[in-house]
Amino acid sequence: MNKRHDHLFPGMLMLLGIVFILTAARTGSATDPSDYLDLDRLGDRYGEVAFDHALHADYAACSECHHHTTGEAPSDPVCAACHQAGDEAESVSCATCHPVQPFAVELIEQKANSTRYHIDIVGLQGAYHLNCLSCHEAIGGPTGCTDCHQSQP
Amino acid sequence: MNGPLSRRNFLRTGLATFCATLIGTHAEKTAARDFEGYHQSKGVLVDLTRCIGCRSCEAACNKEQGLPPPETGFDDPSVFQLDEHGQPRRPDDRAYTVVNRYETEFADHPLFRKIQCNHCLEPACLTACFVNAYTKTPEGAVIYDADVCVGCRTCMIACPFSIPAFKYSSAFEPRIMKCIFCYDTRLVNGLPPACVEACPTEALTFGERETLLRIGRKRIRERPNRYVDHVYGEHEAGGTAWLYLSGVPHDEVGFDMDVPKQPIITYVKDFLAIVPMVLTIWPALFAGFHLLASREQKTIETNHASQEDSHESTGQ
Ligand code: HEC
Ligand code: HEC
Ligand code: HEC
Ligand code: HEC
Ligand code: HEC
Repeated sequence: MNKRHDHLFPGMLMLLGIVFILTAARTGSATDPSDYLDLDRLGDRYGEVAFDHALHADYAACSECHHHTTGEAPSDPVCAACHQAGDEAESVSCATCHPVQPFAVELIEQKANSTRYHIDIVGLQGAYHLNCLSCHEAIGGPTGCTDCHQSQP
Repeated sequence: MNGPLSRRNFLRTGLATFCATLIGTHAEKTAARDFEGYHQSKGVLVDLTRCIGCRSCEAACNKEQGLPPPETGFDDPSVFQLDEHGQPRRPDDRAYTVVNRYETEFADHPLFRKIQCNHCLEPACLTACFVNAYTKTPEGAVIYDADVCVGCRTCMIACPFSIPAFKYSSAFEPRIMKCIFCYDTRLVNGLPPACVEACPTEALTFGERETLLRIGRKRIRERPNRYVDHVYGEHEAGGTAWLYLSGVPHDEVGFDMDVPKQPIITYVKDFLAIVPMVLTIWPALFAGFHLLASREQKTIETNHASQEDSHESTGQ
């Protein structure tokens, strides 16, 4: 009997050690900004969105969300017609190109006189929901209005 | 030979001038028909393929316009059920905008459509109103002065989209109610209406109507499989400030495709043109009828008399 216990003890220690290392590794990755992001740039009707970037990067190609801006070729065939190759942008943050106030007076004037091809860039609120919701609906992620963010009083 | 003063040309020009004078009023009407709205007037492009039926726009409108609280919450999907007459909801004095749900064979998921005043370029309600309660502002909104309104409800009948509603709560103070494009609180300050700002998927795009048409055509051109090739409101009712893109034929989601392509105002003008005609021509016309009729009567009488004469003569 005693002999058996002597064998068990180091085994349990090893198990504890492994569990500890695993937990530490998880907390470490969760606090790394590029794996886990708090999206909180918009209004105050809803709270911030805890976005698990690493989880999503597992599910989808970068170009599903970032267009061709991370250097990948675009996955949307409509965009691929003109942007065949990836073209890394200085900043891949959605807000660089998708304005928080898309209907500001200056932007509306700019659009009216614009000779740019892209006169139809959605605002940040639209960019997030069009992108996130369309995929969640298609392959099963949260779609309820309080699934990703809590209502603020 | 080809002198400009040849007798024939002279006559032709003279005749043309004469005709032009005669139909002068008609030329003006045509000009009014071509009115494209104020330069830089604003509008909203509604992309039904993006609408998820969350009713955030309804909630935002209710708050912005200080309307009474809804019977059930804005997250209650039971409002999408048809009423006992099989009709979907309509905007009324308690809700200037409503979102309805449509099941069609063209899509494997339900579709949604937001309804509110379309802010026509040449509003029929404005033309129909006897007391000039309505105004079309340069920004594109069709607004009204409730203090002037006498409650005749002509606008309700005139509107091709059946939008104006009446608040019946007070019999002595009838009050017209409809979407005003958030004119006084937002549009005058260059801000988009509350519903647009609230829409999470940017199914509502605010901007200059001309730009919106360009954007609409671009979306259709880039994704012909996603959209039907029609921007509802570009020509309907003579053009409206609110424009609609759809993934299924528009009439499948409740749009009235029989709305005339000319502004309703044209018909009203045509009708008004008849009024002086009635006053000037009808007296003469009826005098003529009367003369003819009485002459006929006389002829009949004389005929009768002569017949009797002949009868008498044959009877002899
Ligand atoms: C499901 C959508 C999605 C996918 C897939 C995705 N990203 Fe992102 N990414 C985002 C969002 C949303 C942000 C936040 C942007 C912002 O802050 O505006 C972001 C931010 C970033 C940032 C800035 C991060 C920081 O720390 O601020 C980088 C770099 C980035 N992504 C690279 C990538 C790369 C490389 C891939 C492919 C391996 C990828 N992303 C895949 C949605 C995605
Ligand atoms: C018909 C050709 C064409 C198509 C299709 C096209 N683009 Fe572009 N894109 C351009 C041109 C031209 C520019 C240069 C800037 C401009 O004219 O707007 C550009 C620029 C860009 C930029 C950089 C502009 C910036 O704001 O810094 C991005 C990002 C982009 N396009 C994304 C897209 C996406 C996403 C799609 C598909 C939805 C797409 N493009 C489809 C022609 C196109
Ligand atoms: C470098 C500029 C740029 C960045 C960064 C960027 N976008 Fe875009 N985005 C564009 C352009 C340009 C278009 C094309 C607009 C058009 O259709 O003409 C576009 C289009 C879109 C569309 C609409 C596509 C459609 O279906 O019509 C969505 C959604 C979108 N972006 C989401 C995002 C998200 C989410 C991010 C961040 C992860 C992001 N974008 C980052 C420039 C950018
Ligand atoms: C390419 C597809 C795709 C896109 C785009 C996408 N998601 Fe997801 N998302 C998923 C899938 C799949 C899941 C389910 C993951 C699971 O349950 O394992 C998910 C789950 C989630 C969850 C719940 C899981 C968690 O992390 O707690 C959140 C929150 C979320 N997504 C936020 C977003 C946001 C915000 C965006 C837009 C910036 C977005 N997603 C864009 C595919 C996507
Ligand atoms: C897949 C996740 C996801 C779902 C589901 C979702 N949203 Fe969001 N929402 C976001 C993200 C990401 C942001 C950006 C947060 C920020 O940057 O502040 C956002 C921001 C917003 C904002 C602006 C921020 C604010 O507090 O005012 C509104 C309004 C909003 N969402 C409404 C909705 C509504 C209505 C629904 C239900 C139809 C919904 N969202 C469902 C991801 C989601």
